[in-house]
Amino acid sequence: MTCAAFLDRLYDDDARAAERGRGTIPADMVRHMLDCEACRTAFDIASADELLLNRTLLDSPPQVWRAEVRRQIARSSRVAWTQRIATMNEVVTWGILAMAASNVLIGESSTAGDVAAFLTGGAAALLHPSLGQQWMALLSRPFRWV
Amino acid sequence: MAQKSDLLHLHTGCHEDDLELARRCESGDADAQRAFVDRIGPLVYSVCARSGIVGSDREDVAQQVMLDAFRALPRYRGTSRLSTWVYSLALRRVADYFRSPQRRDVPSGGPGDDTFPPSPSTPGVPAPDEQAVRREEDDRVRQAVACVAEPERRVILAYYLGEMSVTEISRTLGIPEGTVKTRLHRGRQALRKELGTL
Repeated sequence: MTCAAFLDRLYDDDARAAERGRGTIPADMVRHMLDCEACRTAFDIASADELLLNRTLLDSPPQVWRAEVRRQIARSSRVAWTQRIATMNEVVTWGILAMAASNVLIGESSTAGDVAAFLTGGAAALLHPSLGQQWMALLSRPFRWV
Repeated sequence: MAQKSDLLHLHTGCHEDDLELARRCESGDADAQRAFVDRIGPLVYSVCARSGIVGSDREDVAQQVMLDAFRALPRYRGTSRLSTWVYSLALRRVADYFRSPQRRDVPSGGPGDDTFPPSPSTPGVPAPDEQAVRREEDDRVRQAVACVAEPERRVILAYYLGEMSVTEISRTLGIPEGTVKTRLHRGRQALRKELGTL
């Protein structure tokens, strides 16, 4: 291994873990370090940089900021729930309207007919373009009622 | 715990813990949302601060990044760490901010300026005088990082602050891995030079 290759190697994941004290120095690097003082120093400096820069560059945001972000995220969640409920409302409403329409058109009521009409109305609501996105959200997220 | 998570990642290629947190956040779990803010908030806030956004803009942009990240959680697949995923998003928002004509430009100064806020005290940190020394050292390093020219600074921040790997930085910034390493090397040299002159 050349010194240039060693300096490149400093940024690889396994070498970085060793610099942070989370693993052993890779064998190929150890072999080179035994013969090269400059690269031993380079490794020590890289280790020091890892520890110093990670700690120094990370700020702790003010509590007020954290609280505001939590509040906005919670509010954003509630909006999503409102949308889900609105979608369910529309499905039920369309189902009932379809049921009523079938009774008026056919002139007689049967349980099977009512169920079929309700399902057709609900399905129509889901297929309505404006509801498509909300329906995808419903499908892609697990239901939690509490 | 971290080792177990790493092994799991090696086995499945998926960051299960992060994915679980994301899914719980999406489902409205208040504890998960709190954990999300506590874990990702400092990173996002620091990206904005270290990128040179100052004053109230910094808090506004950081807040917007957090909200955007939360809303985008359904798209998170666990193929990278959650922090890396959010870091990429934050980089884009910060770039948008600097392109925006509405941004409020405030000239940045040296330590003591709002650009270099002292790190708030954390439990377990010993004596106040030691804290003061550390704060002074932190200010010097932050000032030195702020003096490192682009594009090296962006790579330095992604590597050390975002804790991204060379491969992840390469993918996020759209540059070859060799270029990432070169910029890291140059950036660190510039940093040492700045620290020597401060």
